[in-house]
Amino acid sequence: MTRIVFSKKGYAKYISHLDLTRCMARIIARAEIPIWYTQGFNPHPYMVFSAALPIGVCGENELMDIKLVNPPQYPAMLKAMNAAAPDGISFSGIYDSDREFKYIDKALYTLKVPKDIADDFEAFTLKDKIPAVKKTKSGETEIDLKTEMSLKKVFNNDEETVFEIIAPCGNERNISPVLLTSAFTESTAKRAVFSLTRTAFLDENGNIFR
Amino acid sequence: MIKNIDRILSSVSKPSWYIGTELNAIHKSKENIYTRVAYCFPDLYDVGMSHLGMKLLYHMMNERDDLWCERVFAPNTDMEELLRKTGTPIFALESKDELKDFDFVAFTLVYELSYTGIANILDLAGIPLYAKDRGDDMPILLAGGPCMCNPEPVADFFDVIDIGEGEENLNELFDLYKECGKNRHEFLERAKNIRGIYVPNHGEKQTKVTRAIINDLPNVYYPDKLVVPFAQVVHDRISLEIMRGCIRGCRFCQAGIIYRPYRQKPVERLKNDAVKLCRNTGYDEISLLSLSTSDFQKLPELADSLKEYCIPRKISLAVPSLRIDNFSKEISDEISSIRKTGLTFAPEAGTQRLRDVINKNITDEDIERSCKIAFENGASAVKLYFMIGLPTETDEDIIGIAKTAEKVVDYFYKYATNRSRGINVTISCATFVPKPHTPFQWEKQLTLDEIQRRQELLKSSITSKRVHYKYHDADTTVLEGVFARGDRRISKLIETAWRLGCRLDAWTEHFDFAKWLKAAEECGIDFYSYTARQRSFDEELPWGFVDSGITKEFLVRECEKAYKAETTPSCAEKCAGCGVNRLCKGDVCP
Repeated sequence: MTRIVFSKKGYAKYISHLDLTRCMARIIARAEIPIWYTQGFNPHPYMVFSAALPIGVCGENELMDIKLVNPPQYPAMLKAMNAAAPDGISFSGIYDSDREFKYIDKALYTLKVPKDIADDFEAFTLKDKIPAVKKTKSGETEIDLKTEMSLKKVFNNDEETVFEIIAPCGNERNISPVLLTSAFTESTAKRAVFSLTRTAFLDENGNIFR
Repeated sequence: MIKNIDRILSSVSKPSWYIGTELNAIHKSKENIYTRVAYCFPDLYDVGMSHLGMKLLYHMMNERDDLWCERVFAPNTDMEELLRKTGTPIFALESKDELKDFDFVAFTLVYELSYTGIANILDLAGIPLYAKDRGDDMPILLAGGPCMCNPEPVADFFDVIDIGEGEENLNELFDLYKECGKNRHEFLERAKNIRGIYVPNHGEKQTKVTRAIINDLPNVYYPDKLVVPFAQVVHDRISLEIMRGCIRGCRFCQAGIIYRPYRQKPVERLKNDAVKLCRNTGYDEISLLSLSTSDFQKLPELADSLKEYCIPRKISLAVPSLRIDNFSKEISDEISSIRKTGLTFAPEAGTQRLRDVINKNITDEDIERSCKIAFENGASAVKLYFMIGLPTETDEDIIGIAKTAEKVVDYFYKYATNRSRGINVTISCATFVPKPHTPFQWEKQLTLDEIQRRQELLKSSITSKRVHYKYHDADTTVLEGVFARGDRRISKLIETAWRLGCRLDAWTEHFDFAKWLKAAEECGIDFYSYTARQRSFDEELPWGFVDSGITKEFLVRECEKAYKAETTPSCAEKCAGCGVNRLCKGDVCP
């Protein structure tokens, strides 16, 4: 399998996952990548993505697997795909990998909080419990974000405070840090624009998943 | 650039409609730009981004180094609410600048029910709706599109209205703007000299405006790239326009008149355009666009040459707008060898007599013959388009629609190779709206009660379970009729209805006829005086000053032949003398 590392930033963070898959198929077509098509009544280019990014969240090392029909020319492919990509989407790596996405366990996020609410936000995160409602296909469940994710302050300056978050991001359990920022907005009624970026995936040992 | 853009985008349901960074969206640096155009489509993004005319002119205008054309769409209801709540003006997608910063705010008007979108967008931009209320510091309001063959219902709103084909005169218009050094009064006065340009609210009223017509369609500009939306839109594919105009002369059809003369593009050019468009967009479908694709003389040749490129790349070819009378085995083969699609035909009327009245020159035998080809090739879904309320229509004609559909079911069981799959026949029924510049422009339109009665009659005439009947809301048809043949009094109606909350009227979930009735009452307008009234040939019509190229004598002649159920041969067989060639250089007609 050919693994491609890409980022989704700027206005591209507002593209939904479904729209992103269509966008990728078009990039691949424009770049004339010899992709393998599924065999069936309605063939489509074979692509597998790591966990979907929520709308509004940037991604820096997102992963996508494709299958090729011809022997790969990786450096040229990467160049062609970057040339064919719309603003906000870019490709930074391409390599062979057989390690399946099901071995992804957690993800690493960077959360930038604007200065004017940074103190309030920090105080909010120090509470014993941060209840949130997680919506799934099977219904709603109440969870405590405190036990679900780890959060630490890594940096602050005159403009913003930066936190690092590690949250579950596997097939079994997937908790989006958007739940945390929404819980803050709801409980304090303070409207702010958080900047959230998923920077890496981790396996169950806490090592970077490539 | 407007403030809070992130806060707004992170709170709306379809943020990708408003980000403006789609592939092939055009971004320029403002410093080098003389003329800035905000090009608005007064309906939602997914509809506007499906419209070829807007894409075509967007890229054509942006070919100019001195001009930057950006897109604006009607905001969805949640976006509108958010803009109003936060006091944020509506913005152009590419630069995110507000509309007041532009030299031109242009609208493309493709269907009448989008007219309240003009009022809403201008209000969200803080630009006065009426031309008379705008000062020199405001952008120049420009309109174009097929609806502008009767500009009067919206003429009070606009400074400049472009009637006809914009590829022909827009560059001249922008050259003039530059020449006039942005002097509004000089520009408006001199713009009147450009063919197709109507300046409705400045100086003396023009007594005649002649439609702009492209003389050399084979060599006219066509984009080699298209903006590719992130979100799925209604027509999410490459539209390749293969010809303009139609040889048929159906008497109800406005497009058949206002896109005359019939002009085809060469196969070589089309192939080149198609390849470039595929390369530059990554789309996996090409749709051949025209009013009547099977009339394209070299269709098999075109399909062959496109297939050569498309098949190895898994790009499919869609061929809509086929006619029943020349639908051949070859065409069917061309389509199904790429991807099998359902079939759509438009008999328009249920009896031979009425088809002769409207000059839709197809027969029951044509229908049987093409169904035979389609069913033998595996089709199992057929969609039939009809109209009710055509001039001289009787109950027998309505019952004939049901009978025609049921005959198609019979043909399936007679000819199909895969009978076990069953057949679905859908009747899609629109109500006839008399349109300006057609032979039926003097005709009366059905009243609401009568539309409903005939719809019920049709419903009760269908006995086969294989036939499904879909019909359009009768209320919207009445309003469409008012706008289509409206005069200057209609601008007040549009404004009033918008004030009462009318928005996105082309959407059933938003359309509120009660509000329109209230607006009509406030304005003292009787809908039926516009729609249900038979006009005499001598009546002065609001669009009478627009010279479409087609003579009144021709329209009258066609109308009188309609009453006698006499048909007129197509332009390819015999020239009917419509008069359009007076406006063209050389021998453009077939």
